[in-house]
Amino acid sequence: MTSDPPRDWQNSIYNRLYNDDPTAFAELYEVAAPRLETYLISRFPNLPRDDLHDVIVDLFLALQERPEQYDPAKLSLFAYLRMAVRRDALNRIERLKSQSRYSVLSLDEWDEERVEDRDITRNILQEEDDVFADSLRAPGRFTFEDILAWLRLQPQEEEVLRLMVEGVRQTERYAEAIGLSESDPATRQHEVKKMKDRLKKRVRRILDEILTRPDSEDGDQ
Amino acid sequence: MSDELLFKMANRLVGSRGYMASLFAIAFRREMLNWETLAGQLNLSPSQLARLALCRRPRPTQFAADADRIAQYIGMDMLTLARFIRRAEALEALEQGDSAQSLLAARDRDPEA
Repeated sequence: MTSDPPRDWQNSIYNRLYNDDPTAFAELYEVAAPRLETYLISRFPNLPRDDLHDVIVDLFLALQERPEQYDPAKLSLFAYLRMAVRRDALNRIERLKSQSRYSVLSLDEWDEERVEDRDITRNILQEEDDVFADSLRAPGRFTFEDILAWLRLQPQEEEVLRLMVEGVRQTERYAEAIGLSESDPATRQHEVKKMKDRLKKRVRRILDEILTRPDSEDGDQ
Repeated sequence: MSDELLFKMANRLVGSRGYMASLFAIAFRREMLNWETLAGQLNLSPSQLARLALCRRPRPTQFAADADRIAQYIGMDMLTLARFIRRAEALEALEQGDSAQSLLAARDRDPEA
């Protein structure tokens, strides 16, 4: 995927957008929208193109109406846009599912095997993990190593968190890290999910704590 | 950027008064134009016109500077742009005047008023 523009550019375009600069919105859309389109296509290949485009357009319309919803202190603008568009795409998929349109559309448009509900659920859970991984990878005030230092994890937990940040999807890799390779698949899946959820909560808690402290205390534990 | 993504946003902004797209809507209504004919009038490609739609209208207190910035971004003649904006804003004011007149006339005709 094309890399994000430099952080300075991102900050500058956001400030210009916030201050009603006449070309800021157009410039941002021109640079960001195609990247988000590529991003969504890779993660939601079965989402109809029209729905995918609606998700992107709606996100930008919301941003220009309420630019204050993005907090530059928390993560870069493009990382925020990826997280938000992924969340919105997931919501759109849920809506399509409830309307029984998602699987039906797959059958009609691509003449492929019907997407089972369990596949959609698994995809949604994987996408939530990917959002979390993206947020840790996104350039920001802190590095991933900073976060590891604050968390003080056990070796197995650190290994699992590294796998999550790398975007590894195979449960077997996680199970191996935890020492559950010999367990049955159901136990492996359950325990891996439990650990991943626990780690996500701890990371979010520590980041909330750090980000609400005054700047002089950053990184102090 | 795919044209689909660009035109979808341009069309969605037609109802947003702060954007150039809303001035296009006035030109479409009042001068019987469409995207193609308006692009031709302004000497722009359809894609350039769509990108112009995504620009905010020049601020009244900074009209020249904003119009110049927009023209440079799009790659068009600044005077052509400025004339279009002024013409469309005049038509917009006319529409608003027409609406106000209609409301007054309706009230005058209302036997209950």
